Amino acid sequence: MSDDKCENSVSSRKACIVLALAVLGTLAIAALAFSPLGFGPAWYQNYAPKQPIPFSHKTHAGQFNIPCLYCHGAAEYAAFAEVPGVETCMNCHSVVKTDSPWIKQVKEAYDTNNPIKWVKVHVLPDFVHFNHKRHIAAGLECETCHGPVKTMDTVYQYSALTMGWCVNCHRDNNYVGPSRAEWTKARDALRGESLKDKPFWFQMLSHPDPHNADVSCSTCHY
Amino acid sequence: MSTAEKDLEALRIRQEQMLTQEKRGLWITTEEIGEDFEVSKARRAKEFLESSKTDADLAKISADEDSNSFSRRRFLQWMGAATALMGTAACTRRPVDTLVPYVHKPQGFVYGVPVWYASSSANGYGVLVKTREGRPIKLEGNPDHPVNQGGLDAAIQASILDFYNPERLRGPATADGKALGWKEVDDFMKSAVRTAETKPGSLRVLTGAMTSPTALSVLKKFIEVSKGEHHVLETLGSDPIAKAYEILTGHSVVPTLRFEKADVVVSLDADFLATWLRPLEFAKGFSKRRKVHFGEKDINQLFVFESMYTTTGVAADYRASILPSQQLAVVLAIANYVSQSIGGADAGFKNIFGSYSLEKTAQNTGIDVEVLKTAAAALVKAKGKSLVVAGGNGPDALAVQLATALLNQMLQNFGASIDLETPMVTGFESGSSFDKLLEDINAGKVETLILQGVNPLYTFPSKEIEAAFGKVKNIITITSEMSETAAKSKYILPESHFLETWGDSEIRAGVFSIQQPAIEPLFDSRNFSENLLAWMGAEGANDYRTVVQNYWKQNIHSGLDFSAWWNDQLRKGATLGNSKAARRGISIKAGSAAAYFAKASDVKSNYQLVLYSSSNLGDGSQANNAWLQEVPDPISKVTWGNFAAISPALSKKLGVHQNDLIELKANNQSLKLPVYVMPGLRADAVAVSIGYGRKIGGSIGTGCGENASVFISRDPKKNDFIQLSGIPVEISKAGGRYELACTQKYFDIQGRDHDILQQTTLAEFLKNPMAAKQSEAVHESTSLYRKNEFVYPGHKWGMAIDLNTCTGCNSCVVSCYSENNVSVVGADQIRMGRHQAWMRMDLYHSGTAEAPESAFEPMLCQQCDSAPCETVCPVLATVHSSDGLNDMVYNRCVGTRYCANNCPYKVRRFNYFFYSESLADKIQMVDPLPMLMNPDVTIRSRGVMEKCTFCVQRIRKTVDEHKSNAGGKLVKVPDGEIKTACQQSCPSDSIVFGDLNDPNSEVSKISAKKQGFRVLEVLNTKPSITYLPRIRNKGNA
Repeated sequence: MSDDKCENSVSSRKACIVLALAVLGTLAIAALAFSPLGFGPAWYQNYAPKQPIPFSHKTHAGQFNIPCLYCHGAAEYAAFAEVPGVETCMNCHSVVKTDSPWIKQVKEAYDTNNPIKWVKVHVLPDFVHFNHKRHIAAGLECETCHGPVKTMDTVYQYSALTMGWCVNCHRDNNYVGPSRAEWTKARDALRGESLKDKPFWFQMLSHPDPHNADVSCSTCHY
Repeated sequence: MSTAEKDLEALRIRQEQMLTQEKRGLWITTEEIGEDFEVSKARRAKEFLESSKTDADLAKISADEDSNSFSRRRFLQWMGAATALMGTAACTRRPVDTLVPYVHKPQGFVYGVPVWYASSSANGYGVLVKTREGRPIKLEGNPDHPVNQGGLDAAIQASILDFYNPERLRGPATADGKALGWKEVDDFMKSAVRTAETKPGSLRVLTGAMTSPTALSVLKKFIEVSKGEHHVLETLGSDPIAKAYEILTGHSVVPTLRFEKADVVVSLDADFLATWLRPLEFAKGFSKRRKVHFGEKDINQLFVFESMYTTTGVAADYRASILPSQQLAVVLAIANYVSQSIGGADAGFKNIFGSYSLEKTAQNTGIDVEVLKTAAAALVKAKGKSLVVAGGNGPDALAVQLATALLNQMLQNFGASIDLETPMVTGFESGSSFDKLLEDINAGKVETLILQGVNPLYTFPSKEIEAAFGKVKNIITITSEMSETAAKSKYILPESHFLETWGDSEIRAGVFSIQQPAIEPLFDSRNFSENLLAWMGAEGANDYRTVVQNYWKQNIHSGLDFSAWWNDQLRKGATLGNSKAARRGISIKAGSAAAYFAKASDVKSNYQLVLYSSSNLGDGSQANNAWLQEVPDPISKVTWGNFAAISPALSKKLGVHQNDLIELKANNQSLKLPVYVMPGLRADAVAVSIGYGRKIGGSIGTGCGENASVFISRDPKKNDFIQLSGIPVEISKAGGRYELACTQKYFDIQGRDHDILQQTTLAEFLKNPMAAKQSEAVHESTSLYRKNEFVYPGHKWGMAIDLNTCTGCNSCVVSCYSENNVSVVGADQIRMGRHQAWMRMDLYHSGTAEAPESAFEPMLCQQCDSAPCETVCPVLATVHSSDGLNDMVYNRCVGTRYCANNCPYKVRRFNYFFYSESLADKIQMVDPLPMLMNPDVTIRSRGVMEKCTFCVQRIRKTVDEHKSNAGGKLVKVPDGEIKTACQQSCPSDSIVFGDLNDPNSEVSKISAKKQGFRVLEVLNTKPSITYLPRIRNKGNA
């Protein structure tokens, strides 16, 4: 099939119109999707799914002041902050409030070795590798990202958890390291020009930072 | 002319020369140096792999597209409409995800933190099993194991894929697929054992070589109870060697070979770096003496006489191609020379080699006389520090082994490089032979036959054996997957994998390791010993751990409190102990040996057939392993099948080209196989790999290649042992073609010899370390890249690869598949140039097709400082990191493939389809296969580019660990703490990884060496990988 034939045929003209419409439609949808109104990653902010057992963080973390790490202990040692198994629940609930129908469900799960399937609230895509341990070790409070969990009856996603949200926090709070300015200066001197006037994304990508979280792509994406 | 213009002009001239030069320094296929040069030139002028389709094929495809209602154009129309509609459909929430925590979390367990177990592989090497959330995801060599010392081969790496294979048997069944309960099986077998007690010899057990002392003790007891007999079947076994030593020493042993103690090694058809006996152990020892770039002074010298081109032949300093029937003549001629120089020959032996001389042998056989003479002289010079090994099961297998042993004795190698006192434990001496079993079956003596770890109907595909097996009333096969033999059995019992059951091994006399399960059995399976224990009603059938413990308590434990000692052994993975296999104070007595020498076999045939074991598939038992099928054979780079390897001279004589079918006829059998034109073969030899052509071998294994085992000559009246090489064969053109899925022609050198691979001889190298360098200076002035575009304030990761020790064993390639969730694409995609391996093992030849000198070059992303891929990505999906990596951001990639186009190393891989959703479209990603995946590495989707990242997940993990401990400050990670997957498993320690910013790191020191070179340095890409040139120990006699 030669190109000439293609241009002359009726069907290909139709195809061009369909394609053009499709491209325009896609662009419009993409623009909507990534706008603050859209259903981009930030769409999941305030997501508060119903859990199989209406566990209240307000009661446990707020009223009784149980430390976050009592249940989510892995956050201190690993990238993941675990969701505790019913074993942890039974530490107290083997004696506390044993007649509640929900606690009976927990006990049953414990006795039958049948784990409760909690609904995931904070979901990062598989291509993002976030490390809880690093943030706990740096002295961050859980509430900084997870919000006022102590007041939440049903936990909801407090933060946007978008890449912009991550990077902005690191930048605005200087978590990207004290030597950023020095390093930029050294680099500019080396190249004999300044990148100060370049757009932000360009600066970000060409200014990976040595300290704390370095803003290289492979810090999180691999 | 400005400097820049001059440089550009120079480049232009160079490019011209590259494409037109007639004489090639480096080549990848024989057509480039033969008469097909013009053909290859046309191909070389094109940058990318050409479709193998002819113009007529393409015209037909085009016509089909026109007439087809769903043409490419129509498809685009529909796609457009679909995209427009998608807008309305996409407004849905993501699927609800659930979290399922442990009810009872194991003590000390932390989610996301791997737990490591020291264990032992099925064949006895020390492994470390990495588990995540209770499931094994990666196998690594145990650095504390005295035999493999941290290295691990491709087959063991890949056995983790066998473990998760959805096609594994899930419970006991009959051959026609009726599921059974274990109780049913046990009741039947218990009564069978009782019947056997009354009829001694009616119950037989046939196994492969077993190295587990506990399993052997259980088996021994079972044989006693059932008054049966144990037989051992090993195709690639070492039985001629053991038989030779039995004649010479009175003990049936295969000595431990210490290649690290040999200054001069002579190998006759023994591919000891890839397939012969214990390649993992040998590669370790051998490479220790090759580290010329690491300051080793006593560089060893390797002479190889072989009938097939093997990885050992590539590693050779001097190589000569021989015919299998000439092995004996070569050993005897060398023995004669050695005897004349140093004497000490046994009188009987002297009579035999007396008539052989180097010159005459060279004349009779056509072997290069210089190689023979140099080898003999080197052996004499290195008396007491040399080693002669022979393999290949040729026509005179026993005589060759006897002569080799006697030659080694003359050279005083026993007690030095050959250790008779702590021999290898090969396990085959534990039972009588397969031939005896057949004899007894045919005599009607056998009623019940239990098979484990063997597949005789595949290994010896003959009507007689099938008929014999038909005579046995009860055949019980213990196997993990369906096989040819299992299909003819009464009961098929699922066998546990070594990752899910207790066990132990003794791989060398006195070296014991425990095999501990890293996971509960996935399916309703049992291991061999558990079955036997159940059938003889003994204790421990349900608690095999106690059985192993008791054996260790009685036989291996010494000193301390047992349970503390046991736990210590579990942690370490290997221990030394007193062994029943040790042979103290035995020595060689030539005595009766002379009687076994007949005149060297006179193979009366125009052509000789060489059957060799594929270095990927071995004997074919792992044929259903997609990784091992997909990873190219080291020499031919052929995947998913076997071929008939012939020399360019023979191909010309027969009038066939690559991929043309030829018919081989031998031993009243015939096979049609595609031709592979291979350098380094004799014009009167044809080589075919066994291990392929499974008839019932799972979705992956079935139908790949042809089963060359039909040619195995196993007539006990003619030969003492099965004969694998030197088989008389007739070759004829069969007509037709079969396109091999081969990756060797993916890319072209385009004449850039020295930019790609540098090599020299030791003599030259000692005179001038820069001897291998011949390329021009780097064109700094005309670089398109900015100077110092990036600075690396913290770490700067880099790698060094020693081409002098690399054996091309593919261990790194499979390790990379396992670590990085690399997809298997299948033969069709490979033919289109779509191999997905992040790390490939390039092979380059130089010299002539008859006497090639070759070298392997592992090729992976070079993590260039001035990366051509980064500058062309329109969406910044591949960018530089602050520690010197070329990041590949999958979620950002839109699949333009510009980066792969612009990469001069061609290491980027594109997901044309959803490769990750299946294994080559043959096995879908169904349970339990997804459990294999490394959760730290993203699974790539369709339309996404991928490549090596220096195992960035390992780097991030270790750096994060150190940062957390140092309060967030970036601290230097100690040198050697981060090991990439390829580096960890390398049996010859050829890969070094580390921080180039640290002047004291090993990688910095090596990269700074003058002889180090960067591939295609002339392009100014500034790669982070330094290669150390291949140095052949030549020219310093």
